Amino acid sequence: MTRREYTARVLICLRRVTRQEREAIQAEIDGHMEDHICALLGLGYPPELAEERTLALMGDPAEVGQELNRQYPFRWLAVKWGAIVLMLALALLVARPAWTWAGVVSDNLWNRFAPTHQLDLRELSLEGYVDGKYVRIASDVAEVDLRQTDGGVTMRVYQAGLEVPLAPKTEAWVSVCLYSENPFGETPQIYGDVIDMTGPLGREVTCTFFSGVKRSFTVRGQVRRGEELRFTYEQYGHRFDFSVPLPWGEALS
Amino acid sequence: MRKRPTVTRRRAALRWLVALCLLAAASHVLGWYCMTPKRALRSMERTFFTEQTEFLARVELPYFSQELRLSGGPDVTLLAGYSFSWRSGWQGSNMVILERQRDWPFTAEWYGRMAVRDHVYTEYSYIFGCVEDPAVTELEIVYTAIRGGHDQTARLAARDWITGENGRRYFLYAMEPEEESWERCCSVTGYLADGTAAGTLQILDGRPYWE
Repeated sequence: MTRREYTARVLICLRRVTRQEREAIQAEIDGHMEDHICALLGLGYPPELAEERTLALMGDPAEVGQELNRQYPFRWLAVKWGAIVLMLALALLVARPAWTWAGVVSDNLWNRFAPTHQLDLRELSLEGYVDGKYVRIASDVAEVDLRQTDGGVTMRVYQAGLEVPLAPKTEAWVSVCLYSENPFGETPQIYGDVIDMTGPLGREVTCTFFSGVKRSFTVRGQVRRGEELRFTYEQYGHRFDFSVPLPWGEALS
Repeated sequence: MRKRPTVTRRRAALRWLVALCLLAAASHVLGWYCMTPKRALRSMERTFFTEQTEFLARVELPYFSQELRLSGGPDVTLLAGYSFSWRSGWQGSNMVILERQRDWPFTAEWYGRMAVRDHVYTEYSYIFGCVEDPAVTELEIVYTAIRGGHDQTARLAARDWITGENGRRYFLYAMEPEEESWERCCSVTGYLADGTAAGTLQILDGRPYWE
């Protein structure tokens, strides 16, 4: 019996081993025999005798195979396969919510660092093109940065604009966004039908959503020349109160 | 050549189990797959931007394979349907948010779900809320059927109330299911210990208002 035949007989006896395990066992037996033969050759044994002695020392291949089977208990292989199957199943189940969550994280980061990427007052229009000209909702828009945090959520006012700055009374628009202080946390969505925005002197302030993004929206209200736009969000124990300076510029001079 | 360390089956299995547990824990914590109704409640609280609440009571919601859970916090009382499925984990839906009004004797809200079985419309109604004034000792719920259905009256005494954190008192009452009920009104009246009425709140006619 040659070394190769010996190894083959041992491997035949193995049950329920994976391909990698089979290769590892084969390498282990080969290495073990190789070491032993080298040692005998070092002692002056001829190669044939060294191999014969080594094979005799290795023992019965069937017994070696059975012993190896005991070293590789099937239950742990079953546990591993079960864990892999469950892991794949769970990964499939959470793929969609994880994707949605990634969108929330992305919204959080955009709103915190570059909110105009989500909603830009300069680009918004109610009428679109009129006589070939794009009619924006606010002719003068200024950057502002007002932030208030409540309950781990920050409301940020980042743009303010006026429809007709030179008019004695005009419509003021501000861009507002929400983000969670914990970038991986869920951020609330503001729903237009439940929002309760109140302005000064009981004048109505409305909230408008220009896209499906419920974490960025605009607030508008009528103001007189020189006034600020004030609005309050108060609901379910949370309160944000803003007084937004408007870009009156030349209108005041 | 350096020999690669052999990974035993036990070790490999344990590694996969640990990875599975980590994925499950992350899914639960991040709200991808809620393993408890409490986590589902937290998700809804964040979505609707309410404060944290605690579960107070639950009742089975027939037909919908859901359970209704009442939860309360310092400023809001919530009632929502919760269900578990292997596909989505625990999920909450149809949440009704009742904002507490501390200067009212009590706050109350109606929660209704309509089921259709053999072309018969059945409405399951629940009245819930929070008793704000400690002097209120009894509540009377009057459900009046205007078109279809039938009238119902219930009285809730202090023993029927649910006590939450800081001694706040809540109530949840399941009305008898109504069949083919198309128009109805419902009011809740609070009574003081001497039998005088503290106020009547109409809760099934648009926004709640006091009579």
